[in-house]
Amino acid sequence: MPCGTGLCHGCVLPVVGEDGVTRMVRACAEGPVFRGDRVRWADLGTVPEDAR
Amino acid sequence: MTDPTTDLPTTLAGMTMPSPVMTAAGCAGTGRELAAYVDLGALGAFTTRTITLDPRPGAPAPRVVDTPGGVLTGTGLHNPGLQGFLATELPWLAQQRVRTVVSITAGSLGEYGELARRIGASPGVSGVEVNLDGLDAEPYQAGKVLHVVRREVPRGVAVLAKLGPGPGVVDVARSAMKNGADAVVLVHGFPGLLFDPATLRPALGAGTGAVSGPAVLAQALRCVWDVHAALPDVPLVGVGGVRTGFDALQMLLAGATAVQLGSVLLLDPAAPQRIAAELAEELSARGIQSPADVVGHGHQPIEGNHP
Repeated sequence: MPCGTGLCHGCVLPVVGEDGVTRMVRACAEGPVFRGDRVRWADLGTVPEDAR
Repeated sequence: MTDPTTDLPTTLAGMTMPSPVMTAAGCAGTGRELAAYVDLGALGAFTTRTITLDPRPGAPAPRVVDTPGGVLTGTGLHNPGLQGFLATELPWLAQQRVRTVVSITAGSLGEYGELARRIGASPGVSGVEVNLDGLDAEPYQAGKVLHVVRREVPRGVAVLAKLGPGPGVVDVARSAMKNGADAVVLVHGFPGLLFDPATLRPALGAGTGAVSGPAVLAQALRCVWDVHAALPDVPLVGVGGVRTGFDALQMLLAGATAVQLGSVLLLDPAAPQRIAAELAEELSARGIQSPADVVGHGHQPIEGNHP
């Protein structure tokens, strides 16, 4: 199970930033609330080609 | 003023540290997350996640899976790349009262050279830890990598070589030291695999990964023991399954000068100060003055009337 504190980078999901770049961000640390229109729902559970 | 009960001065590869308890690469985030739980300045040193030349988005989820006595992890070395690290993560660490060891890995000697040069020249870096895995974990290749890194990193910055477990670990350690490493870090997670009961496919998004946690303590101790027996003058850092002060003491007895904490941080982020305090108690209960006094002590035969 991931750590819940941001240390393990285990809970990542692809989210588009203000600069238009998709990053794998931590639900626990950068979240837990994200703008729904920035989350790449169709790509959850994957690392999209263009993600950083 | 340092609390005398946890004052465990340690010298490792030219680094003067208040404690032999460091964090391990990849388990301590960027430092900001851990700062909520521990005084980073009281750590022996903070080791960053492994930085590569180009950013890596990492492996798909799941990246962390429980296994009895530990975790199986496959992060795919998720990191912001050299530029991103120098712009966003290192400056924050440099502002803290913390000795920072930057973990690096690369696919070519040229990349190693660039990483070492740029990171070694940055303020706030006490050491560079070379994450030798895969093809590098062979004496000749490891030696070439360490030679390049040592050449690019200024004298005052320590160069640590982190090795994977395996029968050749003594030879890789010897080659790393011959080519300029200041200390050897033992040992990486052990290769591992688990399956998902629903999909009947590997449980990790990456497929395979590394096992760490208490399950590997005995194996990591053996690794430190073997390398210290063969190369008693080489400063070692023990990592693998340390979760108590006595575990840390065992690493010292096997021959380590310092220890790193990895997966224990995922369930107890305050572990560094707890383990340092426990180690201080373990030492004082036995009348031992300093951690340095017991490094490699476990190799000596028991004397007649030893306490």
